[in-house]
Amino acid sequence: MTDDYESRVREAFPDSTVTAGAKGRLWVTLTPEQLIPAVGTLWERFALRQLAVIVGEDLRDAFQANYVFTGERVIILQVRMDHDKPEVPSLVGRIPGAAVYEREMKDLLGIVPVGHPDLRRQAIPEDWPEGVYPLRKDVQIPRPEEKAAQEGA
Amino acid sequence: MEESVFRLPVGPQHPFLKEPAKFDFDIQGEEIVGARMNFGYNHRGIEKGCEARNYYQAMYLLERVCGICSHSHTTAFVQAVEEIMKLEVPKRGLYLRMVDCELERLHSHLLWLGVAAHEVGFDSLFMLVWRDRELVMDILEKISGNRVNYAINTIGGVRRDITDAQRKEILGIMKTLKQRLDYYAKIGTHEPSFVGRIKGVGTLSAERAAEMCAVGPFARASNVATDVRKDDPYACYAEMDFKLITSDLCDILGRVIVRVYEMIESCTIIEQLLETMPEGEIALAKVSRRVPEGAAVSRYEAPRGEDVHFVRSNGTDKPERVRVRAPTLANLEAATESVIGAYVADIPIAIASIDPCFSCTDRMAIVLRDRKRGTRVTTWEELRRRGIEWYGKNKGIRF
Repeated sequence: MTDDYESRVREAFPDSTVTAGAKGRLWVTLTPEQLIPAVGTLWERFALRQLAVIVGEDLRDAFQANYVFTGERVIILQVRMDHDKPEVPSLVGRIPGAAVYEREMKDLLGIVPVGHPDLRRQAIPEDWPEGVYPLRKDVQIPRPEEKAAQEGA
Repeated sequence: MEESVFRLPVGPQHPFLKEPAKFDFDIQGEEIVGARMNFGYNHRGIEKGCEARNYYQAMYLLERVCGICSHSHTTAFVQAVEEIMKLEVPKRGLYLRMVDCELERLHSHLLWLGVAAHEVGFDSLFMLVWRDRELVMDILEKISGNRVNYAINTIGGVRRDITDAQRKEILGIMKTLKQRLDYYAKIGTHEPSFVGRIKGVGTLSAERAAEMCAVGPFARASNVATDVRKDDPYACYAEMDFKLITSDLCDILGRVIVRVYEMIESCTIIEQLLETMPEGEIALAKVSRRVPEGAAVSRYEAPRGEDVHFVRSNGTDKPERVRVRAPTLANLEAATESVIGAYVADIPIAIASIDPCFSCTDRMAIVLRDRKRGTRVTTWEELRRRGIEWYGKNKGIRF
């Protein structure tokens, strides 16, 4: 199913892979350097400014941040970064509403939004050990041992 | 006069709402000149928890994200999973899902209206509204068996059907409720003591609301016409006839108006659903436990605004990544900003006007010890032990 909107998106992002998903959602892959211009393109050419959420993911061999933009259609910008250098440019200057999602992504996955003005901890407690990012796949959180009450206890 | 700015910390324990959040207000005399907030004092690790569970277990875990919009989170999640699995849900199942969704919206908005009335000291409205909320809660209890976590969704449909008698009963209650809502609409917009307290307070312009990515009734009250049910219809909302309510007042009065009229629309939607309810199955008979590889973004209009779930599957029976974006997260920062310019006494109602989501309490059943027939009280430990034993014996599942 290729429609007019989709071909316009393909034209606007010539260097990226654009995949059409269910319900007309479009998934666009980017490198971290392409992110800021891409957000500008979405705003200027497609009037998409509502950032619904940023989803950070640990793909084991890489990290990925998915920027979900909603409006006339849903466009998801997928930014893939190296496992050794999990950094993306911050969008706060352009979209103030992005601040909370970027902070959470930094806390839980260690993906650093470069240029974010306020990177205090948000989702994890203040006494949480430095450098442990709970949503990374190599972090195992042990399950508390289940203790059934004994008869007559 | 710069040095007269005073910093007023509020929270993180129980800051005028039953949810941990920390606010710092800069006040000059009675006026608020600056506001900052911080939150995340109670991160429960549900997203990580979902990765260790299979899809059905994750669904029940996600139901517990919130006590009020529990149905919203499961629906958003199962929609994403159904999208990845390419399942065609029976129409009656979708209709029943929507009935629950609108009932949930009604009870959530009624709860909010009561809280808002209480925050401004209009307690008779609070009590009237909460009386009517019980009508909705009773319907929910009758059709799902629960007042809070309805557990009605399943992957591929819903778990409980409604009978014809229930259908007629709900239609009757909707009639009563609509009359009451008309009355609240009149009070909410004309009662001078109420209107005087909320008009022009907590203003947020349409431009700023869009910039801060605000959602739901909060954004609609700032004249941003956003509603997932209209913009990106899920289930069968495209077939329903209802209006998108917005207000150009941009203040708390606008938020009251939007929510009250939205409830009337919800009643209309429920009536339409029940009158045109198709016959047939309510869920798919067989759904695979394994979900093929893929990713989906699911949007859902929860009572407080757009609820977004992102699900990535890896071909096994456990999700690879689940991300929940509850509407409050999108609205909290904008709400904090809307307080600037108001008076100290307006802080509670201004923050509460986004309807921040705190876990609502379930009704608790208390059984007193019966001396004659021995103990009738089941303790938590005993219940847990029985469950573990039962599943071990009958299902071969070891915990």
